[in-house]
Amino acid sequence: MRTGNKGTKYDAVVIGGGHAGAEAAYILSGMGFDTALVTHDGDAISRMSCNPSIGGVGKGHLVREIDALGGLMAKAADRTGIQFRILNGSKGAAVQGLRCQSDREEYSREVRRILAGRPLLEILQGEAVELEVSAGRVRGVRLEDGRILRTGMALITSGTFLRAKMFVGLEETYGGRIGEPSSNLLADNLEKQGVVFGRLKTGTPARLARRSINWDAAETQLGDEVPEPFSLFSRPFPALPQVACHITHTTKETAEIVRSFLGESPLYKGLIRGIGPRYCPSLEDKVVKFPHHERHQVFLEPQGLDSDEIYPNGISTSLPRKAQDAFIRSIPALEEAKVLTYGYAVEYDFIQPTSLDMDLCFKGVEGLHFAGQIIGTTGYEEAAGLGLYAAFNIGAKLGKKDPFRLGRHESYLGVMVSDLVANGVLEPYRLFTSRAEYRLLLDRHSAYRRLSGCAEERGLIPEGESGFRGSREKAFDRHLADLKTKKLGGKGSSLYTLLKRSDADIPNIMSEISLEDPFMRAYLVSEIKDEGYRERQREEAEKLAGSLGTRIPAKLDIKSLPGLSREIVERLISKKPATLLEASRIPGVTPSALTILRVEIERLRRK
Amino acid sequence: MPDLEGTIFGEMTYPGRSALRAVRVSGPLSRKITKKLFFSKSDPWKNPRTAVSGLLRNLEGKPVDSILALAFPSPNSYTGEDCAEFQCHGSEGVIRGLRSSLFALGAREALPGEFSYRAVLAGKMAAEEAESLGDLVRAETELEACAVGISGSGSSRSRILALKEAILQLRAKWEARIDFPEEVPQPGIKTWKKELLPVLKSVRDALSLSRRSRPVREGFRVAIFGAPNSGKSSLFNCLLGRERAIVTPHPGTTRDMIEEKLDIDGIPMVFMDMAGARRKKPGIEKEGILRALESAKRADAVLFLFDGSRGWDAADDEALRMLDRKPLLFIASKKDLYGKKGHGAALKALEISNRTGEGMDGLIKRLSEWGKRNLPKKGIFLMNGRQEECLLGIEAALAEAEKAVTSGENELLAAEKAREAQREIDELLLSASGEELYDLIFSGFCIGK
Ligand SMILES: Nc1nc2c(ncn2[C@@H]2O[C@H](COP(=O)(O)OP(=O)(O)O)[C@@H](O)[C@H]2O)c(=O)[nH]1
Ligand SMILES: [Mg+2]
Repeated sequence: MRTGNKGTKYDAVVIGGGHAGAEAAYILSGMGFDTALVTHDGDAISRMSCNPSIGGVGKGHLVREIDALGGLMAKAADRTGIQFRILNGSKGAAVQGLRCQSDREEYSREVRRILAGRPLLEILQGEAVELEVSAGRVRGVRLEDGRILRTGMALITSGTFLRAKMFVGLEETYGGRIGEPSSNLLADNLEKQGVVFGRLKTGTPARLARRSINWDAAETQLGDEVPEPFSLFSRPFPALPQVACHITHTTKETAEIVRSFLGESPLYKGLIRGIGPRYCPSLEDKVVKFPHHERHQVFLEPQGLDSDEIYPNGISTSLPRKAQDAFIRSIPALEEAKVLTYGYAVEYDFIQPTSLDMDLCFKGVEGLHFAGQIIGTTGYEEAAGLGLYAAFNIGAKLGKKDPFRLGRHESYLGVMVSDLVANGVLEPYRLFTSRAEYRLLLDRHSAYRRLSGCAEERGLIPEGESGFRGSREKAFDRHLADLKTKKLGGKGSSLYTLLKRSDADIPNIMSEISLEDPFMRAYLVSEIKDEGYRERQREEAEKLAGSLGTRIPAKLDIKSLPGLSREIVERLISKKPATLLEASRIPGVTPSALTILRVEIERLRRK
Repeated sequence: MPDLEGTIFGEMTYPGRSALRAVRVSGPLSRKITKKLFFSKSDPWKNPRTAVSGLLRNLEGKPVDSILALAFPSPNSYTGEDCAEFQCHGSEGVIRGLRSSLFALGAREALPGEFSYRAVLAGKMAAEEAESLGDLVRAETELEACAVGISGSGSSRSRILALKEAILQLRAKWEARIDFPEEVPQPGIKTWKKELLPVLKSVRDALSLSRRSRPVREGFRVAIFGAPNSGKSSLFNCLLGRERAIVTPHPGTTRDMIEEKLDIDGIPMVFMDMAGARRKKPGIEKEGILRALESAKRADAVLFLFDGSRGWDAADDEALRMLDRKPLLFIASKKDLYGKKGHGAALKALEISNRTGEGMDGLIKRLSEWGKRNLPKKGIFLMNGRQEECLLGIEAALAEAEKAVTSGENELLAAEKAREAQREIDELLLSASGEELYDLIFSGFCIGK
């Protein structure tokens, strides 16, 4: 940073200290850029505003990818996790998802510790209120206290804070989280730059006092016996003591109470206009839309090892306080529960990701980037991934390098970015494994092989770990070769061939090679078992990438093409896809329309 | 998707249909392929666009069939590229051998519509003209059904839409279990199989119905069969309304087989004129007679002609024995020569004259009645080649899914195959369904903690 009379100068300024902002700041400073991270509250960095948990099916994959790409989320989660579990353990290896319960306070503290280790990163407490833009380029960021940060690269990761409004019953307050103000000046200023906002909604449940819960009445759920970390390079692991979680469920009575209060629901009274995610419905929604379900699960998640707070996952609500008190007490184990904070819904501004380019840069202003929940996603993992992705691209621009791109067959991060930028969102976007066309290629084991190179090139892999990553893949190759040559008891088919059988006795076969590391063992088994299917998906993906990679020349007159429906013509004109691949992602663009486009492009090429 | 540089091949005739089967090759390897596989005194590439007879050889150089080859040097060919055509006998083995030779020599099977696609690229054809490209754009196959005046039970499109719905529902169940393991009940793999089987069955039903509906699309195949000089070529021309086949007073004039598609009261029929059947076969005619018998055997119906002015005789007996199947109709021709005292009555034969056209209306009526009776009863299901290809792809994907859930090892593989099935049906319907899956998941399951 260089201070002058026109303000302090940074290579990049990140606005917002949530999961996206923290990840972006970590990456940018790690690539050697002077970076400022502007946040309301330095203590709130990477705060978990929803449930105290990281990972899951799809999300867990994303966290592993973040680690492979040199991000911080996996390591912070490993160091602060108090229960680790693999979901989908009995299904195919590629959809097994890693999930942990986190100590919420510790997590935020750990991220701050990690960021403190970046000498080029400066954390500034304050509120960004204005972007200085001239000649279509970002020139700086002005804070409320008058400070000016001069930069050509801004990244806005303000989460749900823009024009945020909270609802408890029919009560409305302005703010993005309990006790934290919303950012309206910045929203006004962005609109001046041409940004168009939409509204989305999300919600949380009440927080309960641990000691007021009758734990004996709830079912216990333990973590895995041999927990697997998000980052295979986390040492020691697990770092914190491991705890049990508990599950209870709503009752018929709960549903009745909720129903009786619908008249005071801001959602059902029409006060909330923003659209909430269908996969994270409020209890009101569950009761109304699934009247035949007698019970809904409630996961009682501890907020931390020493915290007195319990997060009852599954009953998010914006009903008035008296309704919350009543329905909570109709839930077994919660009859005497004491509410510490009431649940609320929050409605906020977001920018349609279709107005961003593949760098996540706003198409109207050079150097103005967005990432995280503000571009219409939900989830800490999605936010962190996008923050990292935007940072890679800002870094590429600062270093005059090729833009950073990931194919849909290479990573979930690539799937998410192309989904968002090509299609936009109708509801907050969450990553599902089913969104990936080639999910057999995207298993958690192979993430390092797929992605670590990108981080290595940018100097993002910590010293010492870099050699470690390479040697892991070498060890994999060595074990694979072993399995191909060795035989069970020295005779018959190779171990490799035996493993492929559906009735293979895996532990017995694997015991033939000396291999202690259980994760390496899982990696080998998963690679070998579905090899044929995986190969086919790879071929298909490459074939598609080859034929769809064709660029659509600007001079192609889409309106003049025979055989395209008016609807398709309109969509192609409004979305301006740069390649056939992008065109193919536009809903409604059919294979035959692609054929027609391809024919015309080829014809132009031959002219 | 087509890579535009390669050499492709495809069969131009319908497998299992005709005595003659033709394979077209297009692309830069066409010359090399001809040299390697075709043996003859004259080089077709030196006599372009002319049928040259010779021997088809396999890769070891062993002759496998006597065939005709035609060469179409670029740019004067269908696709604008070097093209070669090989006309072989209808034996499945020969065709299979030829395909694998072509493949080994570096050519690949053409995708549906790819010849036309190349033709369009080469400016040989406007996109709208290209039949197969046209098919890609216009998926409303039931129009074809209307054109032949049949109202099936439910149109082809609605049948496909129902299939798509079934596949989507299946995927919604499966994907919900995979992506939301904590929120959605997790039944065992046996349940997965139970859910899959009815979908697979309805795909297979659709396929077999489509096969049975094929005559509606391609036409019933009607062989005009009989002894030499019975008036077959004359009848063929008469039906066509033009002099398509050569007619002479000499027996044995027609040696090769010709066919034409006609509209008989709205029902498509392909009529085949062929060599007259007789056992004492003078040299060159032998081939033609063999082909005629083969085609008559495979035809949907046979019209058996005899010379009504001469009356049924030993030559007709011989021809009937050779045919070895029951003809749809006996036809006594040349009624203008025998007038009322016909020989047809005894055989309940239809009496016609190719010269005056007498009796032709009656013949058309009999044919169209027969055609209507033989249209598929339980509705029809019309698909073009591309669509049937997709349906086959769906069947293959779901069959693999069945294997995955049967071996009991991996639900994910089954789900991946179901995804493939959905991609195929999207392709079939020329529509992309992105969010529909999630609409089903979120309306069917209470997802979310
Ligand atoms: N008068 C008369 N002559 C016919 C009729 N049909 C065919 N011929 C003659 O019969 C001969 C053989 O006819 P063609 O159609 O070549 O018989 P094919 O050998 O069975 O194909 C030719 O000389 C025709 O002109 C008919 O209906 N009336
Ligand atoms: Mg004839």
